[in-house]
Amino acid sequence: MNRSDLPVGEDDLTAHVDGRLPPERWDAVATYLRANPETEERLALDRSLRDALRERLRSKAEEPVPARLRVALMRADRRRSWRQTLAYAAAASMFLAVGAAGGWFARDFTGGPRPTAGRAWAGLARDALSAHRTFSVEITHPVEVKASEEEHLSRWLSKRLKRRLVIPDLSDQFGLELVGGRLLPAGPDVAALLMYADGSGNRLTLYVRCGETGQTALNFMREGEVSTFAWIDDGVGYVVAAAMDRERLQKVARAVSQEFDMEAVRSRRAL
Amino acid sequence: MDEIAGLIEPHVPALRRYAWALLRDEAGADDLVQDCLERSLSRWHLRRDGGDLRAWLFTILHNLFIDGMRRRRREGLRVDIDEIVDLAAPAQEPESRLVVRDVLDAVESLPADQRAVLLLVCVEDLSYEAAARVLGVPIGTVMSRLSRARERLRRLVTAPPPPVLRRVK
Repeated sequence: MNRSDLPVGEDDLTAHVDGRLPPERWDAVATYLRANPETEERLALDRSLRDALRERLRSKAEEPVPARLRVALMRADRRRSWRQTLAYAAAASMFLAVGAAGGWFARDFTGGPRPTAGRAWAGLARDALSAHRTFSVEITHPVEVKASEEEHLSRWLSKRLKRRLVIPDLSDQFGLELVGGRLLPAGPDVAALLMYADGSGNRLTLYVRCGETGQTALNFMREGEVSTFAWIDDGVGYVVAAAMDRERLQKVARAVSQEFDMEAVRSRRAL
Repeated sequence: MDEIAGLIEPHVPALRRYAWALLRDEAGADDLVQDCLERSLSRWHLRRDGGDLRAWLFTILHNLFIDGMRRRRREGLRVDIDEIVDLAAPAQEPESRLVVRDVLDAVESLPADQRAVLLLVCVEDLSYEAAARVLGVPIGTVMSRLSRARERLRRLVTAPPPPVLRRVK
């Protein structure tokens, strides 16, 4: 059947009001409206309401934009605070250099310094991969705290990370249910590992640790059948790992990064 | 002017309009837009190249709006009686704009999901596909919300004025 032969639907009428009706439907709709003048009248009312609404809101878009919404100014502010962060980082690395020269005691239990910025995400991804390999195969004790105690889990991990950790909900979008989480050592810091599983028992882990520097995009790494996406944002490193195809895992990574970003905005607003 | 600012700034007036039409609150709307812009800057490196920037910005704004609504619901509504009265009776109402004012008030009384669809399609001129992406729903849902929104609007603007409340003893 040709599209022009389909009976006229509510969606055609809606598209007609919005001027978004595809050309091949014009004839069908015109014929229908000639035969149904009351529908024609209804659509005319819809159109006049739309015009009235646009007219009413026009002045709002014509107002001068307040200075605080000037993107150029916001960017300048961000650059300033970024330079400050770099200055702090430079000071911190000097401190580390001095510490190393003096036989820095921490080295003994950190297993060497973390890779420096630029490749920082690769070290992060490797640590997350080992955690994933260790715990995703675990049958009896995959997690320390189960999903049934989600609130406690979130409070506990937030306290140990010294940073509010929201547990992303991946069930609606990806069919991944939370299994639970655990705490892991990560050099001088700690890391949190959250585990999710889909209906067929495939596991995905989300690794989060603080003490990172810089900011990166999502970085892909694959080892054997396990894929990872790692990124650093605002001093926190994140890694999702699963035996999953790259595209799907990237979607999960995006959703997770959005969730954490939302949380960051929220906590800034609360200050 | 720097490149990123040059790309985002042309969309700011429309973002402000959308935020204001959703919230009907001057300062709250600009807070929302500010959050949206900050977030778009911090997420800029995650943006898909060649993607629709306008739809991307509206998506961020919309997610923040939904998030704010959820939070308010959790915290319980804290609205002054004065504020409610203010919303219901805008200061300026010349006779000639009566119908126009009715439209905005009518839109305000729609459920949030219908209001968002109507504003994105009718005022911001987003395609159905773009609106579906912004709202994270299928196109069919956009279409049905739109026709429900219009049905309700028609009823609201053509309905006779509500009867005066009388006290019954």
